Amino acid sequence: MNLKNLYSVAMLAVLVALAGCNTEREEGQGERAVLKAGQQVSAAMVGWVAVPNTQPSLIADKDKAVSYAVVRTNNVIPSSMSSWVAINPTLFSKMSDIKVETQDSPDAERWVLKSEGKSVPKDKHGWVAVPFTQPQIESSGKAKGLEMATLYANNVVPKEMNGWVAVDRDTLAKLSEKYMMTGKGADLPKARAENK
Amino acid sequence: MADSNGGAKVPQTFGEKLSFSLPVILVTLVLAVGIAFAIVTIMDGKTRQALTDQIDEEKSLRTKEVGELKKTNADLQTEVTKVSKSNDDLGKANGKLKDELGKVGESLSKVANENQKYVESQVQVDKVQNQDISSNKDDINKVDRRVTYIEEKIKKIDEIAKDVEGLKGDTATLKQEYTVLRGDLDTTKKKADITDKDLTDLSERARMFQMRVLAARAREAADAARSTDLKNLLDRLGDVEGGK
Repeated sequence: MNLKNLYSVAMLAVLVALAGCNTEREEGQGERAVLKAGQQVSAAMVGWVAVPNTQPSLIADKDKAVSYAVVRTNNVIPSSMSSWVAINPTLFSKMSDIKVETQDSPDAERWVLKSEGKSVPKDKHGWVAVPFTQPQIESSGKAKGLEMATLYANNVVPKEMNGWVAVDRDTLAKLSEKYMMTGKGADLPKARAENK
Repeated sequence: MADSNGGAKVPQTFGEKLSFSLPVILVTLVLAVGIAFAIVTIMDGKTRQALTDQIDEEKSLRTKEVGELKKTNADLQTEVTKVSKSNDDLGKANGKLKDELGKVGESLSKVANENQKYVESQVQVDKVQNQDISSNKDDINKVDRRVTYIEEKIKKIDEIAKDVEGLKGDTATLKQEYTVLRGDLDTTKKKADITDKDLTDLSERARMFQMRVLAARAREAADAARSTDLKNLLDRLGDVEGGK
């Protein structure tokens, strides 16, 4: 092996070592990275937001045949829940007859990856960094509490949505259809003989 | 001693003394009696005069009083005569009144009989009238109830028809059905004789319309949920909330 080849191998090793010291995306998780203490912020991740690595957990109500997840502040929406819809808990309770326990919002601590090359502090080890996107809340003026938001992968749950309930679209369709058969206009008269 | 004075002899015994003083005593007695008589006579005369005067005065008063009494008596007699006459007149009037009263009693008796008959006939009339009124009231209540029923039905149909306006899908059939149903409800409401059949038919059609609207809005909500058209979904859910 001549000197030129040795030099190339050495440079490659240095590059590999340096690359391991920078923050990098998780494979298969889209725009997302798990931080390690001491890593340096890469240029591509400047402006991202890091939060503790938490996700909404799935709950299955066998009696009502409904699966749902309660989201908490700073949860990062996993790709498996992309396109799910988060519903105001009051509205969800009306639609499904399931009472969701409310919990206080945890400290909404976030760390913004501001400048390239800055080291990840020790206390942020294991946090998840994502481009900062939040679900957009839609509401209706027809009644109070009619609020929903479409969730997308890697959305960070804002404080206002702490305790909201996320369901997939089929479940939402099923709940909506059932709910629409109640309320105004649903008091159907008895067939025949009502006027006697 | 008397002998020495050479004068009359002085009575020594009681008899002599009495004989000596008797003329004096007699004269004195006569004088006393005369004086007493004179005094008594004078006193008597005066008393007699006073009594006479008093008697005269008394007599005069009595005479005057008797005169007045006589006059009063005469007046009273006149009054008694008048009263007697009046009494006679009253007796006569009383007799007449008795006769009249007898006649009135007979008339009253007749009137009482007539009244009894009238009351009995009136009770019968009232009974018949009450039956008629009750029957009419039932009819009126029935018509009122039916009109109210239709009005409530119209209100409900109008309310749910607003939801049709909000639907984004094809609602032409529902709108047409609403127009026809609404027209029929109005027409029936104005009818004088709303029959059970009218109500049953309208109720059934209203029920079917309601069910179609409910199904349409539920279907649209489900479609909106599947396509994550949250604005439309929330509007549909608002239709439900509007009735709660």
